[in-house]
Amino acid sequence: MTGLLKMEFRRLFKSFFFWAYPVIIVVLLIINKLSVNEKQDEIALTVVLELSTNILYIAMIVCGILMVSFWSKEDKHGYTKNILGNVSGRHILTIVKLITSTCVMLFYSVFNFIYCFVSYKIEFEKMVKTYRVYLYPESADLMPKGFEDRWISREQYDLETAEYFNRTIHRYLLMVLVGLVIMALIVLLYELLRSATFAYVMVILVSTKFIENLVLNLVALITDKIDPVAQNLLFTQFMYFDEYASVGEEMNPGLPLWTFLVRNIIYLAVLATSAILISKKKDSV
Amino acid sequence: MSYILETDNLTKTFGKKKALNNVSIHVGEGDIYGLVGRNGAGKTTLMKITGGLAHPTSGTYSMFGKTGREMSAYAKKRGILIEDPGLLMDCNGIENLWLKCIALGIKDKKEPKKLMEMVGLGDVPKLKTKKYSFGMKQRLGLALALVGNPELVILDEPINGFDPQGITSVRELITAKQKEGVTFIISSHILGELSKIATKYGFINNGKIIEESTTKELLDKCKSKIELIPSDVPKACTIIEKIGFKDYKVLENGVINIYEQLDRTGNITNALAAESIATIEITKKYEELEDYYVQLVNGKEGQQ
Repeated sequence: MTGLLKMEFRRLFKSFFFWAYPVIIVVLLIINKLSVNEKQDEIALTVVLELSTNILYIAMIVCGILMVSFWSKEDKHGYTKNILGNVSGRHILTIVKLITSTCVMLFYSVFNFIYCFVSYKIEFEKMVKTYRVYLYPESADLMPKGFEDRWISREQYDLETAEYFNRTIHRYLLMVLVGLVIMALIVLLYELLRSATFAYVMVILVSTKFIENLVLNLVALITDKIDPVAQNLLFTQFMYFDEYASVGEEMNPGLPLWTFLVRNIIYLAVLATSAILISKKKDSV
Repeated sequence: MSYILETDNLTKTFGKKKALNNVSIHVGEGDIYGLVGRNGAGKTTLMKITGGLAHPTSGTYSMFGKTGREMSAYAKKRGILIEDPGLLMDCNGIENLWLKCIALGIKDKKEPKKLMEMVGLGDVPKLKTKKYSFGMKQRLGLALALVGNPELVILDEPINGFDPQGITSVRELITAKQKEGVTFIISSHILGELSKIATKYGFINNGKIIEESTTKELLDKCKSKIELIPSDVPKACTIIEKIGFKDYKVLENGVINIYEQLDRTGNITNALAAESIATIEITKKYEELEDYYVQLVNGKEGQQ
């Protein structure tokens, strides 16, 4: 299997499409750096942080499409057959697929992380150094009329920002885990139906939350509630992670981090095992 | 006797259709096993199962004397070329081979070049495979099957699309590899070519093996001969020996098959007439593998 992994990675590294996403991220980062000016403020920083998780959706779509195109190309040309004659079973190839897609997803996540968090750190430092703080001036008297009670001290702001930053990193890491779950789901669907077109469509529908929204709407239509389902869905679960987020009129409790971790690890294990078992049962050609 | 590959009542069904029906074949070490059958007979399905690409619905098979999980450890000793050659079109021949070398853990960087030369593609190492002709693709497919010096090579229609020179070179390659101890299972529609190299045959029709025989047994059954039906068989035998025929066989139905000096039918009839033995029938038969297969299939279908 080590040989197969080496072969797959070699092919991936030689593929132009594989490098397209990291290159775009690096270019964006460079543009971002060059375009930094004195107008930087807290709002812009928050936007950068919000971007950190949103950009992962794009990474999931790119990674999903890259991997499916890669597998279908192998299957279409029959190269897989050449290899299959020499491995102990088809499930070995599925394990290789799971590992490679996980690595690609992690690789893209690292680029996203660098893009978002590194730039945030740099911007934050710049902002503090140049005292370009608009929302939280030195005293409450300087706040706009009617907003005096919202004033917080500079120290309090730093503290809250650090906490938010910390939470965003946790959220980011959980989202990466969800990305891995989605890759396992795509491997499972591909093994199940062996249709590249179906897999492409599913990558887009799942990563853009279309399927989840459909499920939520159906559940709401039938039961008039969404909580029991939403709490367990891949993306919607994050509403329950952030204690400040709200669904409708209700404030969410902010469930402990470990519950999300355990739930997503279970999803990952179940989907990966199913993909391996299905490929074991199915004929290759 | 132990076999490199042995199947025991392999059955494969697709829906209601039985692609293979209790197929048992026995491939010995160093054999070139010719799998003969018409389109849809079940050759490719059998090769896919023994090549590890498909699961049988029932029945078992052993490879290198091992079955099940034990057999998996020997998968690296098997090379396959089934249906299309299975190439990565955006890579050149060397890259295709090198990637398989990496997958099999082969570190010798000269291996792809050696294989390219072996199959006659040594002069186009950097040409992308999408620019290959059909025959070139087949050659590269063959090279891919030979990566890692497999001990068992399964080739489905390996000479399809080859020019006469290519056919000869593939035949020579297979024969040379066999001499090194490699076992081959080959299916081909070009039975004349298959008959030049095969050491054992499996005839398959409608998913069933209808006959399995060695080349020697088959030659006995289908080689070119004079079929003689005399009025007195024992006396006729003495006479034909007297006039110089040694390679002949007397069948139970009173027919004498003579396998040599096929142009001397006149001498035989004259000699028999001189001894007052009537020649009821004398015919020359030139039976080739193809004719034999057709007769065999028609006979079996007639019985059904």
